[in-house]
Amino acid sequence: VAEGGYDTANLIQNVYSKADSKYGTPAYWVRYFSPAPNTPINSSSSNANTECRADWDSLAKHLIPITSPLQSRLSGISAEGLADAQAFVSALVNVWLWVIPLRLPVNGFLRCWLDQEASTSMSTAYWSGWSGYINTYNWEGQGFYPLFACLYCNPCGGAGHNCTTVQSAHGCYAIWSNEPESPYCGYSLKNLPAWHANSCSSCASNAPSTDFWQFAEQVVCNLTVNVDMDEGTLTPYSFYLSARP
Amino acid sequence: MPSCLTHQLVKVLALIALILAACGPATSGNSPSVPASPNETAIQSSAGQTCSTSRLRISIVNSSAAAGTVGAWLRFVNVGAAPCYLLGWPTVVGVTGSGATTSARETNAELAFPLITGVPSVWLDQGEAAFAAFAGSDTPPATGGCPPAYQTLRVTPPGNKESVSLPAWIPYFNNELPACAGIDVTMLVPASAVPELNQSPGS
Repeated sequence: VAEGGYDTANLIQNVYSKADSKYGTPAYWVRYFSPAPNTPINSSSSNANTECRADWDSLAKHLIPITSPLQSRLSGISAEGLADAQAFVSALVNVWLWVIPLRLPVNGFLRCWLDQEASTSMSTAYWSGWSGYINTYNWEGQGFYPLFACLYCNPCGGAGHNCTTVQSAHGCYAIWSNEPESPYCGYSLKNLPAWHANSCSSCASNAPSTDFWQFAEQVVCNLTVNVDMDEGTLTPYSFYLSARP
Repeated sequence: MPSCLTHQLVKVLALIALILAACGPATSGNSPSVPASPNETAIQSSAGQTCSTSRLRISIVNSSAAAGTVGAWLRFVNVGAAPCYLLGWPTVVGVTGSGATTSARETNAELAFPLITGVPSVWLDQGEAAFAAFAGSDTPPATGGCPPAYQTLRVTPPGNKESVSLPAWIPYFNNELPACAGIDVTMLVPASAVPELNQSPGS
């Protein structure tokens, strides 16, 4: 069964009620963790708990983490990728500690997304530094490695193709495609489109699979609630709430 | 009378003035305007005025880029000596290098816009700020590439005709505001409604 969910730069508690009633009940929320603009979910324990409570109340009960560093850093060196990954993981751990019923996925695969905007070029050095830390992070020193680096991008966009960059640098487990969007503005979580996400198949061989698709963006589709809409079976690879925080 | 009471009285009188204005006779574009009665004039002058463009320092702060949405906040600071107010949506026009223009759509669904009902009249004492969010998208349409990015934003505070031009540079995005899907702009809110903006202004 296809799953749909929302990503938002706003706080979940500010938007979930209108989003649910207007566009449908989500299976998950995608929220920003540091480093990120606007207010990330890890801005405080209080905010993390309030957002997760809203996530629960929206009936999603799953949380997908994304990070969006300063876009100029993505063309930088390995050390910049490493530093951004360290900040991201620190934010993940903090939220996990603050929100008592927030759990890692049962299967041990938490997909961690890096935001590469359509016009941003990413270096293989940055990706190697970022993904290397994510993919080898020993969760709280428990001998458990549940984080898996993934990339939000326009798969075959970018100089030399984004798929080629991550394929050559290795360590990318999935692609979240932001193309195409405009033809699918008429769809919502109540009426998910048939799968048409752009993938790496047309520009890179042996590239990661695209199994997440942003099919409607607020600005592009003039949505009246500050959410974007996404499709993909992601609940097995996300944080989940075992109870209402 | 304590100054805070004076301030509250001014706000109440301003609200009355706004209600009177809203309930007044409608005028068509070519009709002569209806002169205000002496009482109305007295209320309006004592109630304060719309902040004029020349009394505002307008800047772009707290830029962002997140999953296709690229934007920032417009900050309007009252640099005049007297209090004034702003009500509603600023007019924002994106201007490309070739001079092509795009008027922003009015919305309240952008960035981390707070949960607010109604349209607040934002009172600004000297040095105080009001904020409005704006954003565009850098996701190319399925039919091809995006038009050239906006080089400047022409911003007109609500209730004004005079505008200011600001560079459309979005630092977090490391580029100018993309023109892939037009521009959205929100209504103005007081600084107290967006405390996170006061923590890291100017970015």
